[in-house]
Amino acid sequence: MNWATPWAPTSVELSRCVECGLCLPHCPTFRLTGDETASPRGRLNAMKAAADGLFPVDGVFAEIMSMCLQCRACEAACPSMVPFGRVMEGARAEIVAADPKGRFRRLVAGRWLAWRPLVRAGTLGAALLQRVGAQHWLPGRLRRGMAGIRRLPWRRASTIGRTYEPTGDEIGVAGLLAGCVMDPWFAAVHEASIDLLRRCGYRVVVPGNQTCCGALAAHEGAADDARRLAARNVDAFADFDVVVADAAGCSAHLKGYAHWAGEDGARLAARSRDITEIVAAAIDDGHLPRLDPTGVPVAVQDPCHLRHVQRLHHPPRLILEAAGYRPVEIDPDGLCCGAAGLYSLLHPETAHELGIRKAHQVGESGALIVASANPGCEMQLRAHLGPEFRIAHPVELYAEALAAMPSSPKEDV
Amino acid sequence: MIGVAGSAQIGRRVGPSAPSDLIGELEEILGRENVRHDPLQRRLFVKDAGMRSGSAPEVVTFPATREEAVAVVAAAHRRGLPLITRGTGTGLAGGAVPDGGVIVVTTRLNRIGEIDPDAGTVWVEPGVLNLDLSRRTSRWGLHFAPDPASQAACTIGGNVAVNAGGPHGLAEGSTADHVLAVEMIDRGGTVTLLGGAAPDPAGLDLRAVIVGSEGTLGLITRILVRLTRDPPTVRTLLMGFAGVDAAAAAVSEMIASGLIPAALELMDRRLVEIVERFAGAGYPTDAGAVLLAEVTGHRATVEAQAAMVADVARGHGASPVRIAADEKERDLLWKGRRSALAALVQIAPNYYIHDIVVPRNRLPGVVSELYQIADRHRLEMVVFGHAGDGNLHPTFAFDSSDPAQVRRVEAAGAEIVGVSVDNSGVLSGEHGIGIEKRRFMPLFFDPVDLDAQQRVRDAFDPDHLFNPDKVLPAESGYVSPEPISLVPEVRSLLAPFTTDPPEGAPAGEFVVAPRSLEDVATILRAATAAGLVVLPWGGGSHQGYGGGVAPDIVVVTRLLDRVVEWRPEDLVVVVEAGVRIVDLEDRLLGERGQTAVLPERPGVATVGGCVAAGASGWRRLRFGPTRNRVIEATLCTGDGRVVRNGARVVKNATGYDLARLAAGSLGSLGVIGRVALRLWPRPEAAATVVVADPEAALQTVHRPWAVVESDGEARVFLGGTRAEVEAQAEALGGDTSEGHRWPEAVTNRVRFLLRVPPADTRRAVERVPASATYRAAFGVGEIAIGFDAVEGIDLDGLRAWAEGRDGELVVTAGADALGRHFDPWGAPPPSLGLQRRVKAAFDPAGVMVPGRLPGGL
Repeated sequence: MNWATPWAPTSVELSRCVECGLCLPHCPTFRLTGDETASPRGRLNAMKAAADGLFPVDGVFAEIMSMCLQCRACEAACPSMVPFGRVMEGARAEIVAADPKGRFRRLVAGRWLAWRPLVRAGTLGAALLQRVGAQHWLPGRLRRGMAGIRRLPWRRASTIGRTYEPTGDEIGVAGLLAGCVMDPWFAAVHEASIDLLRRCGYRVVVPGNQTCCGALAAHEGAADDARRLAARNVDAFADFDVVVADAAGCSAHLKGYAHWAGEDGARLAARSRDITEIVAAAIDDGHLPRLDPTGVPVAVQDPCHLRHVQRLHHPPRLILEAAGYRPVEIDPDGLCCGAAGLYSLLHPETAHELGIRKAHQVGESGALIVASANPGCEMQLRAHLGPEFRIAHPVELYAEALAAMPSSPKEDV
Repeated sequence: MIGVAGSAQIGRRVGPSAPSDLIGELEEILGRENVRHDPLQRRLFVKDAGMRSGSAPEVVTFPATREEAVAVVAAAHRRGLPLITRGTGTGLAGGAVPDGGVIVVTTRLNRIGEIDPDAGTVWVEPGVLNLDLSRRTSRWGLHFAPDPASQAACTIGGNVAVNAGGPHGLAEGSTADHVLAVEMIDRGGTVTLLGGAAPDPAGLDLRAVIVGSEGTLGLITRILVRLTRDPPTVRTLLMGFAGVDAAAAAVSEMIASGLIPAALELMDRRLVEIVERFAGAGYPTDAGAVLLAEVTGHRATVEAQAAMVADVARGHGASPVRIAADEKERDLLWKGRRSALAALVQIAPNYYIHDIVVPRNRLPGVVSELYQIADRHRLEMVVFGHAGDGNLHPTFAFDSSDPAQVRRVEAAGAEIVGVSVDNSGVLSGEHGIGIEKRRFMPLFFDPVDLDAQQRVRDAFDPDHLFNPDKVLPAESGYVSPEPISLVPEVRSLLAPFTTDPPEGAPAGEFVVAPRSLEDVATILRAATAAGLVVLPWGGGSHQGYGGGVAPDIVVVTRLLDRVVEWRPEDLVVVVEAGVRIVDLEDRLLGERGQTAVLPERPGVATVGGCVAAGASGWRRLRFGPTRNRVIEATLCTGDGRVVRNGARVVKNATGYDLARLAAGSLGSLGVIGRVALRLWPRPEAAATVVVADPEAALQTVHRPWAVVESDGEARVFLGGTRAEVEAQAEALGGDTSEGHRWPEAVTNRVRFLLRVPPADTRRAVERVPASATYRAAFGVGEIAIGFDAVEGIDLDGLRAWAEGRDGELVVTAGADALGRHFDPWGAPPPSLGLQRRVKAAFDPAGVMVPGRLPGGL
C-alpha cells in the first residue's frame, strides 16, 4: 500500500470495478476527449496502480484525478456499484497529502467558504463589481463565474438564526441548511424553500451554529476540513425531524455524512432531504396544489448531484408541472454542465466547453426558462446563456406560481 | 493462464515508451495533447473489458482525421512497430490488448456523416458510439440494428471488428449484415474503399473479411452502415420458468415452430437475483430462469406473435408471463439484461465470460452440460445469452486472488468450449477471438482451415503490423501435401471423373464430374500442378458474368447433389454445390414449409452457382442478400485444399468470414463444394399487390418481402400473418392476389445488372432503354435488364451514369454481342491490388477462371 491518509480508496472499493467500460459514455470529460485517462475506468486504474505502489502519487497522477468533475454520472451507470465519488475524494485527499502545493483552492473550499464574514465581504465586492460594470478587470476564469451570479442586493436580511412557523398544523420541524453562498447569493431560493416547507406544515429552523456542508472541501481533497465541517453540522442539526438543503450539491453531501461523521453522520444523513424531494412528495400527496397548465416550456437541467448521486430525476419535473409549466428534456444522459464546484477555476476550458454544450441544448429546447436545483449549475448556465434566459430553482418557480394565484393559495394547503 | 481484472494484475511492469523521435513525429502530426507517453497514462491502456492484460503500449495516439491516421500508420510501419486499434475498450476477448507497440484510439474519429433517410445509409467514423448513432437517426425512424449490451459505450468500429451482435441479432443479424462498405488504411498507409452503397459491388467481397477481423487486416477509417427502419409496434414479454432447461426447451420450440421474435434472451436464476438488485427491473426472483422476448413489426402480427410466444412459454410451464405495459417498463426490462455482466461483481470480484453458439435445438442438452461442468469444477456460474440464436454466455464468477480457483476456471472454460464444438457450435458468436480464445482455435478449425485464414491475413498484412498475435494461432499446423509434379499423369488422374460436357459449356480439354469434395481437390491440385485453367460449372445460369474463360478443365458439380444435413427445427440446411435450387426449395417447402430464400426464378441454377455468383432473389429486400445467409462454406481452393469456414449456427465471430468472401467470388478462389444456409419459415399468408408507385409502397408498408417493377408493372410482395398481410394489402390499395406471383426472369440474349444505391432505383429505371426488358428491385437497387439486340443502345452512357452514382452496369450474359471494347464490369474496383493478393492466397497458380473478375483478375 502506497497511501498516506485514512481517506484513501480501499482495495475493496477499487476491486469492485470490472473494467466493463459502461461508465465511459456517461463521463463528460471522456465525452470531450475520448481519452481513457480522462475516464472513470482510467482513473480507477490509475488509483489501483498507485494503491499497489507501482506509481507514485505525483503530478501525473494529480493531473489525471483533477480532470474529474466529480459529477458521479459514472456511479449511476455502474452495474458493479463502484463508489466512485467516495474513492475520488479519497484520491484527492491523497494528492493533498502528497503535495502541499495548490493550497489556494483547498483554502477556498475548506476554510474561506465556511467563514461568513469573508463571504459577506466577497458578496459586497461582487455587488459593487456588478454595479460599476467592472467585471472585465477580473481574470477570465473569475469573469465567467461573475457573469453567472444573480443580481446581488446591497443589503439583505439573512435567514440564518431565524425560525419560521408553519402556515397550518405543524407536522414536524425542518432544519434548513443555509449553505455557504446560497444564503447571500440565492436568498430567493431560501425564501421559496421556507415558504413551501411552511405550507407543508413544517416549522423551519435555520440554525445559527451551522456551517458550510463541506462538499467542496471533500471534492478538493481537504478531507480534514470536510470532517470538521461535518462534525459541526451534526451538532447544529441534531434535533430536527428532517434536514433540508436547497442546493443539490449540499443535500447530496449531507446524505453522505456517514463517511465524514460516523454514526452521528449516518443519523443525519438518514434525515436529510433535498427540497425538491419534499415538495414533490407534498404535491404527490395533495398537500401542495397542482396549478392549471399554462403550456409555458421550462428546460429541465438536472444537477449531477441530484440526478446521479441522489437519483432524483422525477421531482423537479413534477414540481414544474404542478407550477403549470411544461418541462422540456434537454439531455438524455444528464451530462454535467461543467460547473462542478470549483472545477471551472482549475479547468476553465473544459468547464467552458461543457457549458457551451449545455447552453446549446437549452437553446435547442425552445424554452426561455431553465430550472436548475443547484447554485453552481445555475451560475454556469447564466454565464453561458444570453440575458433573455431566466434560470431559477424549480421550487422558486413553483412558489412564485403559488403566490401569483388569484385566490389566497394558503387556503389550498 | 488467465490474467485477471483487478488489482492482482496490476503488478506488470510498464515498458519503456517509444523512442523520442517517434514521439516527436507523432506530436507533430497529432498535436501534443493527442499523444500519450507518460508511463502511468500508457498503463491505463493495458487491457480492455476482457480478462487479460498485456504490456503497456509504447505510445498511445488519438488521430482525429483520416490523414492523421494515415500518418500514424506510416510512422509505425517505418519503424516496424505493431499497431493496435482501440475504440472505447469494451471488447470482451482482449482484442485491443497491446504487447507494446502503438495504440491508435479511434474515439476522436467520431463524425457521423450526412444521413440520407431515403437511402437508409450513413457513413460513420469508427469511433462513433453505437447508441449515439441510433439516437441521431431516430428522428427519421431509423436505427442501427446491432445492439450489444454495451451499446451505450461501444464504438461502431469495435462492432465491425468483432462482428458484434446483440439481442436483436436474432431477427436482424449481426454487424456484418449491416455494413455496406469500409474504408481502410493498409499497412503501406494507402486508403482503400471496400464495398459500396450499391448492392453487391463487383469483385471479391473483401468487406466481408474485414468485418470480424478484429483489427488484424488494417485500420478502418470510415464505415458505410445500413440503417433499419424502426418497427411500428414492439411488444416485450417477460416469462419466468421453473428452470433453464424448461426455458431452453421453450426457445427451441418457438424457433422450430417458425416463430422468430426480434429478440429472445435467457437469464438463469442466480443472475436474475443479482440484476434485480441493481436494476429493479421487475424480474421474478423466484423463477428458475427468465426469458425476455421481443416481437416487432406490424401491429396485427405483433399481437398474434406475442400471443404465440406466450402460449409456447405456458406450454413449458412458464409463470408469470407478462407483457411490458409501456415504454418505461420495456426500458427497465432491457436495462436489467444489459447490466447482467457487470452486476456479477456482486458475487465475486472477477468474471470470465464465454460466448458459445450452438444449434438451437441442442440448447436444452448443452445448458445442462454447462451446469455439470461448473459443478464438477466447484465454480459459481451463471448462464444467460441470446437464446434465440443459440448464443449462450456461461460466465464464471470467481476470485482471481485464489490461484486454485483461477486454474479451475481455466479448465472449466476449456470444457465449455469443447461442449460447444462437440455440438456443432462455435467458439464465439459476437465477442470475437482476440487473445482470449485464440488457443482454442485449433479445436474448431483444422490446420488447413487456419492456414487459409493465415494466408488471407498475409495477403493484407504480410508482416503482421496490425494487431499481431490475435485471433489466429501463431502456427496453423498445416503441412502442405507433396505437390503433384508429374504433369503427364494429369490425364490419368482426371480420367476417372471424365463426363460428357453439359449443355452450353465451352469445350475444355477435360470435362470432369467429381463425386466428392476430395475428388474436386484432387482435380484442382492436378490443375495447379499442370497450370491448366479451370472453370467450375453448375447449371450454367451465371456463366455469362464477367470476362470469358477458355478452360482446360470444366469441373461439373452435377454429382455433388446431396442434401447433407437438414435441421428444420433449427432452420439450417447443408447442401452440396450441385443441388438445383428448384429441387431444394421444393423439398424445403413441401416437407416443412421452409425456404432458403434463393432466387425465385432460378431455372436450372444450382445452389453452388448461385452462391458463387452472389445472386440473390427479390426477397432480399426483406431477408438480405444470399451471402448473408451462407453461414458455412467448404471451398476447394484453386490449389486443391479443402477449406471449411463458418459453422452451422446462425451467429458467428470465430475467425475470418471466408464463407461470405467465397460468395460472389465467381469461382475465382476455387470450387465451392458445400454450403450451409440459414432458412426461414413460410409465412402463414402471402399476397401480391399491384401498385402504381413502388417507391411510395415502400413507405406505406412495413418491411415488404419484395417490391419489383417488371416492364412497367410494379408489384409488392407481402408475407406474414393473415391479419398483417390483409391489413398491409388494404393499406396499399391495389389489385391483390393470394400467394407470390413472381415475374418471369429476364431471358433475353444480352443481359445486364444495373446496380445503384437503393434510393436511386427509380432514376435508374427511367434510364433503362425502351427496347429492354427489365425487373427492378425497389429498395434494393438492382435492375436486371435484357436486350435482344444492343445496336444503337448507349450502354456507355448508362454505365457512366451508374458509376457516377456509386453504381455499376455489369454484363451477366451475351458479352460476345457487345464487342471487345465494352468491359463486362466497367471501371475496376479501387481495391484491385488487394483483390489480386487475396485471390493468390487461394489460387496461387492462377488457374481458377483467370480474367473473369473485374480488372482482368
